[in-house]
Amino acid sequence: MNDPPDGGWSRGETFLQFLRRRGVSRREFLTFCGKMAACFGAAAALPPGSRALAQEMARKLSAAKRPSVIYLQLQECTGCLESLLRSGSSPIDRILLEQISLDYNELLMAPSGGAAEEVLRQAADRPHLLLVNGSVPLGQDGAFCTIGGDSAENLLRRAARKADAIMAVGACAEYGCVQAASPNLTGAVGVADVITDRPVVNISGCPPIAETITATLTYYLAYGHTPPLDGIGRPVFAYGQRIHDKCPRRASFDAGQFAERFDDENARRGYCLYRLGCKGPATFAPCATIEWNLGQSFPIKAGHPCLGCTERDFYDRMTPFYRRLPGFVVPGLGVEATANTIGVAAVAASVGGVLVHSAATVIAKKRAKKAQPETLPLAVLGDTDKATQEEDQKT
Amino acid sequence: MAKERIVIDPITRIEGHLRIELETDGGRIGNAWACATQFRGIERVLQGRDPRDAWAFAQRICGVCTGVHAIASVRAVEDAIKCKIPPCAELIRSLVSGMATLQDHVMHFYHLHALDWVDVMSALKADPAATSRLAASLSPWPNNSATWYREVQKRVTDSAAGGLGIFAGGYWGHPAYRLPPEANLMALAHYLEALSWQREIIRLHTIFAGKNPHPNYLVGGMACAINLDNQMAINQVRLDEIAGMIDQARRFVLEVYYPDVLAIASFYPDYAAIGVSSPTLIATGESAYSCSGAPAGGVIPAGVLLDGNYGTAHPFEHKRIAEFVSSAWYSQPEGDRQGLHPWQGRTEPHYTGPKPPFKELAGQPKYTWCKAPRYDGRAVQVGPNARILLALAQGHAETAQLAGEGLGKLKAGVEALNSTLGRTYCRALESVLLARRMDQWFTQLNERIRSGDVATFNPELWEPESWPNQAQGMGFMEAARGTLSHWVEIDNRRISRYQAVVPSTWNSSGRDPGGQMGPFEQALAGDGKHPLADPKRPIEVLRTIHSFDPCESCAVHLLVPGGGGVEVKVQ
Amino acid sequence: MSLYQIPASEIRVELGVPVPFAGRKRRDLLIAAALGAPLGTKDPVDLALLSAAAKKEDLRHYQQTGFTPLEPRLARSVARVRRLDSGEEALFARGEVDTILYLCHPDEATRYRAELQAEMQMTHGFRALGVGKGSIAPDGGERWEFLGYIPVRATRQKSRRSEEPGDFYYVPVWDWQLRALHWLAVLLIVVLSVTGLLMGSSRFIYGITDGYSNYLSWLRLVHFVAGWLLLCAAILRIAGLFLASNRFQRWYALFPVRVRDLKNLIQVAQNYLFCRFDRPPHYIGHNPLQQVAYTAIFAVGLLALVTGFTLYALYDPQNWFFHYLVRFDELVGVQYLRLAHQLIMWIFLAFIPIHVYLSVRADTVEREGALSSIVSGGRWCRRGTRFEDGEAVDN
Repeated sequence: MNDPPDGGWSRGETFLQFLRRRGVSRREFLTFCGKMAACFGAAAALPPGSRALAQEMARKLSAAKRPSVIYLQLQECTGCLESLLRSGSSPIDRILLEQISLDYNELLMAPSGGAAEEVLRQAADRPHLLLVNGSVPLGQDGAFCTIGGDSAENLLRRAARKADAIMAVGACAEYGCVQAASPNLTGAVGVADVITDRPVVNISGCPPIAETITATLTYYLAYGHTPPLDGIGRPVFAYGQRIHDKCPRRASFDAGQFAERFDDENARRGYCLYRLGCKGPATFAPCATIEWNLGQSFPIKAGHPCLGCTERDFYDRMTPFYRRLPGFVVPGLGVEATANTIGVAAVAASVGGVLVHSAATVIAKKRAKKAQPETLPLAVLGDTDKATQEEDQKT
Repeated sequence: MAKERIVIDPITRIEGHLRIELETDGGRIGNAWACATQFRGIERVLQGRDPRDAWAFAQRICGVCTGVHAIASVRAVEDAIKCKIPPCAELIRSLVSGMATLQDHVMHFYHLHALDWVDVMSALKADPAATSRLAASLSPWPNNSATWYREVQKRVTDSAAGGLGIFAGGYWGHPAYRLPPEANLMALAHYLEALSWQREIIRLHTIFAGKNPHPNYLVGGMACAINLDNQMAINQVRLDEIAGMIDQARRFVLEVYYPDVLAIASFYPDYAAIGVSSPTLIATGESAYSCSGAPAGGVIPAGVLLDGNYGTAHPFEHKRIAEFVSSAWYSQPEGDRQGLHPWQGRTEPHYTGPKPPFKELAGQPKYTWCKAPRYDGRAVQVGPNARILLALAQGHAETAQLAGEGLGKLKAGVEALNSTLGRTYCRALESVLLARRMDQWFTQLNERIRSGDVATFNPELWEPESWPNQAQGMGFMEAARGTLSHWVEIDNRRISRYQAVVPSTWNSSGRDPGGQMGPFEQALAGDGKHPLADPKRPIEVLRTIHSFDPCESCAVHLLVPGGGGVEVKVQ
Repeated sequence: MSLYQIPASEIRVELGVPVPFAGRKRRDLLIAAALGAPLGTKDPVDLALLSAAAKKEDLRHYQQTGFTPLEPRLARSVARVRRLDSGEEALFARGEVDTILYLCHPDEATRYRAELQAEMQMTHGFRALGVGKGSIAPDGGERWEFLGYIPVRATRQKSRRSEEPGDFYYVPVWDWQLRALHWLAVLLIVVLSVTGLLMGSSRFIYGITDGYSNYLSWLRLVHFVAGWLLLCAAILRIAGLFLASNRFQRWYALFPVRVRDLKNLIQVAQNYLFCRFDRPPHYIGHNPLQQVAYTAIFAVGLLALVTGFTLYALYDPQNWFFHYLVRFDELVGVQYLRLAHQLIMWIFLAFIPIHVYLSVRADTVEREGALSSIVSGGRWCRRGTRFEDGEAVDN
């Protein structure tokens, strides 16, 4: 592969080589190791004495071939991280032990409180990769989500400052997901709305498939740059095509074979779920190709229509989930009308209008016929028009 | 030693964001405040939506207890529209939620809780051969060779050379770690094995419900069609896979998880008296695996244990629930001292805390986003220990037999189940019972299919036109973390009010107007005896908090006013 | 000096059945009335009498030798006429019945009957033109005889214009290219609507084929091909807006450009809504209301194309062109685009009845030839009509 661009830590490069390339001197590095040694405290595996510990750390870290990763969890449900744990292509244990050094992640890390914050501070100060779960609530100065006493926004900004690449994992980090759905009480926004000066990779989904997260990560590790992205920052390798275009039920769609309701004969024959509200035709996601949970299956295959969770604002735009198209609430009646009922009503109104108008035309014509025509003066009977008469009278 | 204020924020290895503030006095905790520091307002988002969509919103309350909110939501809607689901769908739901709970319990123990008991760095010094002998003495689990443990040890050692990653900054070497290196290595190996195990067994969700996390549910049944003669439906291939997963799940629970918990617990017997929390406990029992509406009947009926009297189960009456906001950042027209039943909640978020970044929350009357629900004025514990204690009180033989054996090994009485160790043990104990139930459910499902009853969906009340104009319903569910209920009001086929009463709300609640602490706080500071040796390395506190398996995204929710929308003021 | 301030073509003169007296024949009465007209008259009543009389007798046998025009005081005119073959001369007086009666002094009974009848019969604006004949005695004395009267009415002719082919001239308006595009668009829109509806509600054909066909893919294929053709048609039409030599087809014919046209727009609308009944202003091309309506439906068609192709683009979002279209999907969400696309179809379907009705109406009721013009390309213009959008060439 090509040389990585400036920021990345390429495969095969040691941590020390990488730091040198990034302009970090050995002296700075040793100071850092001293601080880290304090963090590890009385780690039993290491010889006692902070100086010796620092040297040991320095020895180990300079040879380290795993890039540092900060994985923040902001305003979210942890589903995305749970999804990551299910990864099959690059299992989580391999990622954790062999591919990256996951320095900060609230769900998995050993320390809590001050020790955790210290780890974060250290990690944020050196080159790292930033992965983010969860949205950033901007309301109430960020009081809707605080970690270590500080707002999610500040935390994100600090962690992003020296990040080589930023990956927003999941719909919350992309745009706010469910908490950003109308009426968005907390003012939740995505990472790219806060970090505006750098590209953010959006790994869409609620949650994303584990393998798309790990593959985006390993792609970066392998080639030193983020994968090519589509218009809204999603990696093309995963979000370049619709579920619909790769769906195992697609043949049924083309044949016009549809399940008309859940568990009917057609559903049991494995026919297309489009009529049950499947959003696969509107959803860019690799569900049908990568599939979920070690490639076992995915919602459409398992009989449930796609909810469209990789698309922006899907809680507002893809709902109602069980209808092909959004409906309209007729004010006052509380009845939902579809586009077709409205359309049929419009056509009926138009035809009715035509009928009424033509009737009115006929009536108007008859009336016009009946009406006294304007009688004109007759010269042969000595009529003069008024003007002339007046002139006559004057003279 | 003078009193000292300690803040632990973030509490890691939990779901969501929790902050614990403590006052210590000479190595003992004198006072504690549990602060939930995240608010999302999902119930408000649900207003005005199609009730059939509600599960997909409610499910996103939590991605760790994924599915439980969806199932409670679906049940609440089914209760409201009076929809009965086919038996096969009920069994599939039971299998799905049972597997979720098993996976949740195991992952909680190994990945969220174990590092409180297990010193990873010490494991690197262990003798693999001795570890193999230790493991073989505990269980017939085949993955116990010295070669295997050597490989694990080498893998983690090599990894540590390239950066400690998630283990960096841990409290390694803390005197509170008491396991011998061999036990540590065994637990570490199982930590890694559990990672592989969980992604295998959870495929049951993928087959029945499309994916995990956040599997798909359906009002009126389940979306997966059963057809033994079709490639795309639940056929024999899928059933075989599921049988394999249930088997795999049961084996791991019986041969790894349960023995590990017992083994590790035997090194920490004092924790059977540490972390004693609220003596009032609620569980809706096994009936909550198959009901809609108020929990009723079942092998283990719903009930309440009051004030430490673990022998008598009182009937559970939801009318006695009241939620207080005296310590939470909400306002309600009735004032802070008034507790409201969930049906009457008229609450608005109203942040009065300091502007972030802040140093302390404890000095203030309001310090959390979590409300304080009380049952008859009592703080209540929910969760596996509540379920086990209730089953024992109701004389459930299978539970009694297993718990008797386990408690005998730990040389502890029934009251020890309300403790840090008790809660952790109950989780394992329950997993064993549940793994057995999974087999029974699956057998029942197979019998149904054999008898030709393969319906998984009841279409009668699918179209909103078939619903009454006004309806209200409730759906109960025993989630991994305790009793969960969703409450829905439907007006003109749209949701007009939605509420969730969530396990972690009970457990992580703050103080009520009477000053009574919530269960987390009681566990830490209830008796003034909870140890905390080194405030910089608060491992004892983590043990107790983690024993509850906190789920803070679940805990914090917003009750919305009924009758169509009072504006929530958020500046 | 003309008594009438209106074009002669709008004056309609009607002659009632002549009412002869004193045993005369109607024919004689009519001829007498005609002979009473002054030589070279332009008065429409006179012309009508002359034309009617000319059918009865060859008036060239008479020669007018004198004429006393009508004076206000006497209220009668008298013509002196000589019969060429016999040389016999006679006087013919015309005027109000009572004037002529006064002149003629018939017997009391005749007089009474004449006055009463004239009064009774003269309804609907008809008036009686009394006619008297005076024979000239050799002594020069005049002997007058009351011949009778003729009901006469002159009205302004508004509703019933002449429909003679000779009254029209043919103007070519629409090029064949435009007509071809119009009918192509009609065909395509019908095809697109039908296939679109069938795709949306598969039930229809599903019931027939039981799903064992590829009918949905065929529907989609036809829909897409029709969509591409409609796009081509739209591009040609847009090019035509700027390239066509026909000024009725260029871009400035899309909307009213002059203030007067805006006023006319309101007037046309009022005419259609029966708020006024006069004749709306005439246009050779489209009137302002048509311009606005057709431009709006043109815009709706473009919107249908944009939404349609934006949805179509989803199958290949990386395409160099579709890449831009997909931005719309991201902006509003695919579901709402689908909804818009479907609603637009219904706008078309509701437009069609109104459009067809008004065109037929223009052809039959208003004789403007709008319907036939989109077939033949030209329209018939009535001679003498002043057109707002062109020189009223009456060639």
